[in-house]
Amino acid sequence: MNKVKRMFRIFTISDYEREEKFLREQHKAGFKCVKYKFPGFYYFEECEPEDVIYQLDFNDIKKENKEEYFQLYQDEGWEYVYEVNGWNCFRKSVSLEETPAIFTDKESKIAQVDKVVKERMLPLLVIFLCCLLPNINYACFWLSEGGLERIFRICYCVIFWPLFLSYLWMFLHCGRNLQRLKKDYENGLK
Amino acid sequence: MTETGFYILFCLQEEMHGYNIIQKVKQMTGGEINIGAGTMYGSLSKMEKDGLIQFVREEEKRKLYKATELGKEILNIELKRIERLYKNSKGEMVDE
Repeated sequence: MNKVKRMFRIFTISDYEREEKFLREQHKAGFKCVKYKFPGFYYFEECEPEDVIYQLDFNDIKKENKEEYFQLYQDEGWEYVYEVNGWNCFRKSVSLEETPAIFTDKESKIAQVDKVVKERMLPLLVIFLCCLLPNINYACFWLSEGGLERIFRICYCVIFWPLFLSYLWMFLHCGRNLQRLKKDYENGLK
Repeated sequence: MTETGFYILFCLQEEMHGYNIIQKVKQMTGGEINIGAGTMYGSLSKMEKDGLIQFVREEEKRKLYKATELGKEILNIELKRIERLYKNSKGEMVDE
């Protein structure tokens, strides 16, 4: 039985290129990814060190199209690694003839960024606004209250504000990164 | 039209599946153009949605597509454009 190791890493929806690089480096060091579990557990199995490209495709494939989708990747020599929350991970060895890539023109690279924004970031932003914004009022005016109500509201604030600010920071971070990624693709820098 | 889109539409004058197209384009262009699986899948889905190509039948989990009438029309416009570009680039004039 080969050695198995587990690593915890968080990559946001705008960090998929970093995630691909991380998996490639692990494989180069002799650990191939065998499983991923939400929110960030990567399982690796010891293997021969090799330069293998990992690629993430954000594509929530409908059930009836799954066979065709995976068949095409398989025909092209891609090995399926895992599928999580609409992200499909594939790998293929680097050879002398080619450095493999699933997206080979800038239009399809840009299309992936647009899809992540439209189908993942915006829905999450709407959920965020619907959940937190109605409570903002409650988390603002605790000074005017007295006694037990005041203590209760202070406790509430201690949870609410860090959560609110970290979500806000996360959206700004992802939005900026995705925009930068798109610009790089448009200018042919990546 | 993107280069990938052009080659796909050009190949789909005959019935073909995605992997066929990738191989044929590689062959036609002497290995210059290598369409990735993600690019191919996305292009086929989009072109089908836009009505340029249509699903014909399935063969061993691979879907075969063919250009629609609209697709052929668009391809012809594109071919004429490329022909003009080519002629002009060689210093030739194009007749009306």
